[in-house]
Amino acid sequence: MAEVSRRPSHARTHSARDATKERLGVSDAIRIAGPGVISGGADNDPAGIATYSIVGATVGFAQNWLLFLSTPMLIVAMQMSAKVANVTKSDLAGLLRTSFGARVATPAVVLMVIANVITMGADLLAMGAAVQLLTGIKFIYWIVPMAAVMAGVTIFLDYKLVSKYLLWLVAVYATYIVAAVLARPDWGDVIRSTFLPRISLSPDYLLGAVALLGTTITPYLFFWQASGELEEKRGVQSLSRSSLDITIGMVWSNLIAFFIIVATGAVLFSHHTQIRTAADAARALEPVAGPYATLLFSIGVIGAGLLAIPILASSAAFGVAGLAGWRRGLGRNPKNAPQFYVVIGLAFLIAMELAVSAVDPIKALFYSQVLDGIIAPVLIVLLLLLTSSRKLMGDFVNGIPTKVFGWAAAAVMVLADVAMVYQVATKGLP
Amino acid sequence: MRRTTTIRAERRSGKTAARGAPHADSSASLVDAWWATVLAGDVSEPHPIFGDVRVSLHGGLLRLSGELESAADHSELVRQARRRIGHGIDSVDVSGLTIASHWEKPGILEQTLISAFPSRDAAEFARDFVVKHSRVVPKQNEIVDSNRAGRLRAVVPEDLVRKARHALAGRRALLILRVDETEAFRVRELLEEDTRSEWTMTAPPQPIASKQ
Repeated sequence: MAEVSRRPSHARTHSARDATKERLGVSDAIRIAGPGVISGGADNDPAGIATYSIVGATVGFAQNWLLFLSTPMLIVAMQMSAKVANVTKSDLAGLLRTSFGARVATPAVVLMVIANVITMGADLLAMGAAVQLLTGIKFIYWIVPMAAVMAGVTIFLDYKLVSKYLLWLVAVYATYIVAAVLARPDWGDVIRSTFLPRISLSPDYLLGAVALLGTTITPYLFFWQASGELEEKRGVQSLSRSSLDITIGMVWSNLIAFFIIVATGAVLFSHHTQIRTAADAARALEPVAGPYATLLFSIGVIGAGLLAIPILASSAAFGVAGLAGWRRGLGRNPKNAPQFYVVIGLAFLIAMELAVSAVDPIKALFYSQVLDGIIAPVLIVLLLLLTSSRKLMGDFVNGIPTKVFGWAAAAVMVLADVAMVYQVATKGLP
Repeated sequence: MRRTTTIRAERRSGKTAARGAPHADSSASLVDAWWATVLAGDVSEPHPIFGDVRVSLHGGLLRLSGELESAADHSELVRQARRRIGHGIDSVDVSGLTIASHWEKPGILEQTLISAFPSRDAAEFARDFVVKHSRVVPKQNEIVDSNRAGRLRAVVPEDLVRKARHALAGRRALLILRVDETEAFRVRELLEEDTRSEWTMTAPPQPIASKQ
């Protein structure tokens, strides 16, 4: 973190960056929790949980290295999203429009919105499947009421307040850490696969890699983070706070993801069990919860969905409204930002339609993350261009480490995308 | 909490009064009109001064919630609500009203915002809107069109001159506002979302001390 005093005086202020440096301690971590921590919680949405579970069950620990590698990349991408808002006081869609023009901004936002709505549909399916596990009533009957309640909360209540409570529900996923330990994996293998890359060119492996990267470095979170910084009115004086907030949120998010893969790898992959239903995915929690694994898994999925789905809808609305220059913000009354809330409502409607017509919840969850994996590198490159522009960022332009990790993230994701498309085109879907 | 863009600047203290504040009466009448709609049962309209305050009215109990910018705003809203007791409501619950915690301190950095408008008239209207109908007092405000293109270098940060010239060549008028960094959020929001601006750009923050 920063080096100078907590509140520099004017006399010592030589550059804008000097004026914003502050030293933050461990005790600050909880106090400053904000959009970054919520983003971290939302990053492990039901689609994410499904993807990590499928990766663990399909390839075991073989992609742990990719998750490890993606952590600094995710932090850097999210920090760029926050910083560009801190400096320019604009959200991502508005900035893409003013900096690159509608020809670049519109496709970027439209792709993000499409991926979001599909992910919302898949998340709704997962939540329905989780409630089915608990009640025995078929998942399809839960989708419409759940979507209606979430749309109502997002539009008519203070979602920012609600989300802080939902974070506690998602804390259920911490049980994956215990489950992974109790499953007694071969820790030597876990550590080796985390630090030594194992690369395979099989369609299975590559689809898993793209989905894992897509669900970790998720495009909609870039839009959400930038808008969250604006809603919190965090300017450049809060750069260190934003950075710490994001780092905590993303490390926690990926730590949980890591243990989901380890638990599913140890329990399911070692027994050659494929995940075809939510009940299969829940089995990874059996070492810690025994007969209550299904209950624990269901609560986690429902909590993750309640947290993530409104964020997906809001990110889509922030994108569209930013592109069009409409009033936007979850703190606004619906009457004061009607178009913004109409987009949120439409996103829920379309996602609901997708959910009730889709066939296989687990496949829908997985392939929505593959789509995210294809879109993410495009947005990372645009973010890198924005945050490396001295005209836009002044003293807050990207440093070398940010550029290295940012371009590395884009390159790794593009490589994985190209390899996957080639393998799927020549060998077909696994 | 975001604010609405209706009248709200007039109660901002002496700074607004110094500019000449002919809007005090209209502000008071807008507030009265808002309270009348609330007491009539329509709680969805944003407050004319404090924006998106959430209101619920059940029986005789009026509940206010949301985040306000300052303790002064909190006191003023509570005062307005309590004045209405006996006029359609029996009691007021303000436990849901919070005051925003501002880490950012004013007086350290400043930012210049540039907005392009289709005409000088539109730019002047937007300037009046931002200056007179918000709580922001710009340190500098200027409109530059093709007739005054020579002023560009004096008021626009070096890095944005090219984009500004391009806009002037397209017969746009530019509204240039320099404000404290902590106020740049609201100014950008107003320019981008509530005026006819075609685009708005913000120059990076600069230390105030370096200009002195």
